[in-house]
Amino acid sequence: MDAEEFDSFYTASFSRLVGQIHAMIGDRDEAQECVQEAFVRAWSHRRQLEKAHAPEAWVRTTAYRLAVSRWRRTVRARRDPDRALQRRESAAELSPDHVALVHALRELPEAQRRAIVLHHMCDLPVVEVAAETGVPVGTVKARLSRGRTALMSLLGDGPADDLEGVSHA
Amino acid sequence: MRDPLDELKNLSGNLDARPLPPAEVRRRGNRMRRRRTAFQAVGAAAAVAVIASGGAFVTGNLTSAEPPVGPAMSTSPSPSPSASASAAPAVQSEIPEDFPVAQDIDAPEGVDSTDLLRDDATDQSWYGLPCSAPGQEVTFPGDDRRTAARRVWVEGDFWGKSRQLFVYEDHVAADRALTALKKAADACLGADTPPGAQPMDWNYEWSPGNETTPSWLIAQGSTIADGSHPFFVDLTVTQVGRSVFVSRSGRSQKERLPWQRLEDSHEAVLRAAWCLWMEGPCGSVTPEESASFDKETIARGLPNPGGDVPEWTWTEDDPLSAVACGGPENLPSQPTASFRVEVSPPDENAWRHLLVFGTEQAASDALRQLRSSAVVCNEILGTSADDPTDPSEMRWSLEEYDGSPAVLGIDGLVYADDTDTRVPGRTLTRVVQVGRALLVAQLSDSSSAAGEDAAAAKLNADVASIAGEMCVFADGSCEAG
Repeated sequence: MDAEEFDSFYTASFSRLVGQIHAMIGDRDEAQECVQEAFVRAWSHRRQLEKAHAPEAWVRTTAYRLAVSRWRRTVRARRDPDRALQRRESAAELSPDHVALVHALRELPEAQRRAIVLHHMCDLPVVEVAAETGVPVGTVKARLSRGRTALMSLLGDGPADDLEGVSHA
Repeated sequence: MRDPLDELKNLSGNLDARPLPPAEVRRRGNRMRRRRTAFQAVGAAAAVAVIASGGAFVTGNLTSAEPPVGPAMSTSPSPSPSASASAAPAVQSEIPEDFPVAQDIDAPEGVDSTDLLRDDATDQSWYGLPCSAPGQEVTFPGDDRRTAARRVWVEGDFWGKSRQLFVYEDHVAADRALTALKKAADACLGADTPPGAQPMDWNYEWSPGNETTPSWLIAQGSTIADGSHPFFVDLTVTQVGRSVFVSRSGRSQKERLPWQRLEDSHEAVLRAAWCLWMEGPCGSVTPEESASFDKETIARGLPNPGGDVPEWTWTEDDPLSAVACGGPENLPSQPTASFRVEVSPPDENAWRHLLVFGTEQAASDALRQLRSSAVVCNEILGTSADDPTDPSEMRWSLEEYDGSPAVLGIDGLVYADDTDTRVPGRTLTRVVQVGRALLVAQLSDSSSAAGEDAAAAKLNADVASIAGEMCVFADGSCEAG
C-alpha cells in the first residue's frame, strides 16, 4: 500500500471506523483518538496491513484493542474513569436517538455489544464476526440474539419476545 | 415497532469526526517505525552490565561506593572491537579505525572495491547536500565544535556515492548543525537552483529526536526533466547523540526507493554510533568487572511481530506502569535503572519491565508495596457500595509463591462473569524478585477462558525462565532456575 492508496483508504474509512468504535466503547472522543492512533500504527506496520485481507478490519481491531488497553491502564492507575466507557458524552451535539442508542449499547455486556456493532453496523456476516472476535459462530449468533433482545428492552420497546427467533446470516 | 438496529447503521453519519491530515498520519507512522527500528537495533546489540558483587547498575544514582557502571555491548553483532570493548563514550571523541562508515557502499561497476578514498579532516565540508554545487564549501553552526570527521567515497563513482560521519563535542553542537541543515533543506525546496548546481527537485522527511532518540532527515532528489541524463539522489542524515551520519547515493533508476530501505541499510552504523555517542543503554563499559545480562532475555516468549527480525518496542528508564492500584509514585524507592519491552496492538497487549534497585532491600520493599497495592485495590474498586451498577472495575486475586525467587502472582480479573464484563479477558501480572532486581510481566488476554488458562501457564513459564537468568543481580547464592 503506497502513500496515495493509504491516504484514500484513510480518508474513506476514518469516520466510519470512529462511529463503529464509538458504538463499541461508548465514548466518541476516545474512539476518535484510538482510531487515529490505529491509523498511525497501520502506516507504521504497513507490511502487515498489506498482508491483511481486510485492512479496515485490521484498523478496527487495533483501535478496539487500544481502547481496551487504555481503559485498563486508566482503571489500574485509579484515575477517574474519564476515558473509554465513562458515562459521559462529548460536547458535540448528537441526536437524542443517537445518545439513547449509545447509552443502551453501553449497558450491554461487552461481548454482545461488540457482536451487535460488527454485525449490524459494520455489516459483517456472522462468520466474519466470529473470526474477528475469536469465538465460534454459534456463540456469535447467541450474542446477537441476546444483545438485540436486551437492546430493544433498554430502549423501551418491550422485551421483544418476538425477536427470540431472529436468525443471523 | 422501531428497530434500534436501523438507527445503529446511522451512527457513523452523525459524527463530526476531525481526522488529522493523511500526511500527518503517515509522518507519525514513519516516526513510530523509525523509533521501533532504532530501539530494535540497540536491543539486539546491547547487554546490561552489572557488577556481580556490587550494588551498581547502569546509569542513575548509585548507592554503593562503586563507580558508575554502564551497560556493555554484547559481542555480536559488534561494529568494532575497539568500539565495544574499550570505549568510554563520555570522552569518546575519535572515530574508531574500523567504525563501519562505509559498510554498505557497493563497488560500482568498473571500479575496484578497494578504491575507497577517505578523508579524516575534522573541518571538512558537508558533501552533496540539496542545492549545493560541486566543490561548494558547506558548513553549519556547530561544525566548529567537531572532534572528529570522516568521509569515505569511491573514486570514479559517477553517481556520487559517499558516506560522512561527524562527531561533535556534545549533543547540543550536533543538534545545531542538523537544525541548520534542515533550514537549508527548507530553503532549497522553494529556491532557484544556485549557480553551478544541477537543477533538481527535492523532497524530504524530517523526524526530530533528542538526546536518547535519533533524528532523521531523509531526502530524495531527481533531475528536472530537461532532456539531460536522468539522475536521482538518496540522502539520509541521521543524528545519533553527538554524531551525525550522512549517506548520499546517486543512481540512474527512475523509481523512487522506499525510505524504509534507506534506513535499514544504515542499521550497522546507527547501532555502532549509538553505543559510542548516544546517551542511554550503550554507555560506558567496564568489561573486566562486569557480568552481562542480555536485556533481550526479558522479551523471552513474547510474540514477535517482525517475524525473524525482533521488532519489539524498547524503552529505557520509563517509570513502571501502574500495577493493580499502585502507581509508580507509590514505590518506596525508585530503581536506579530499568528496561521495558512492549508488544502493543495490533499484535498483543503485553509488556515486561526489569527494574534494578540499589540494594536487595529496596527491591524487597518495592515488591511488598506492589503486593499491598493489589490488596488495597480490591477494597477500593471492588466494593458494591461505590456503585453496584458500575461494572467498570477490576478485581485482583493474589497468589503467593514460596521459594526462591519469590514470585508474586497477580491476576487482574475484569469481572469473571461474562454478562457484566465491560472489556474482555483479564490482565495477568507476574512480579518476580531476584536479588536487587524486579521483573514485572504483564499480559492482557482477551481470548476464551481456556485461552486465558493457557496464557497464564505460558506467562508463568516465561517468567520462571527469565528469573533463571537474573542471578547476576543477586549477591551471594542464588537459587533461581
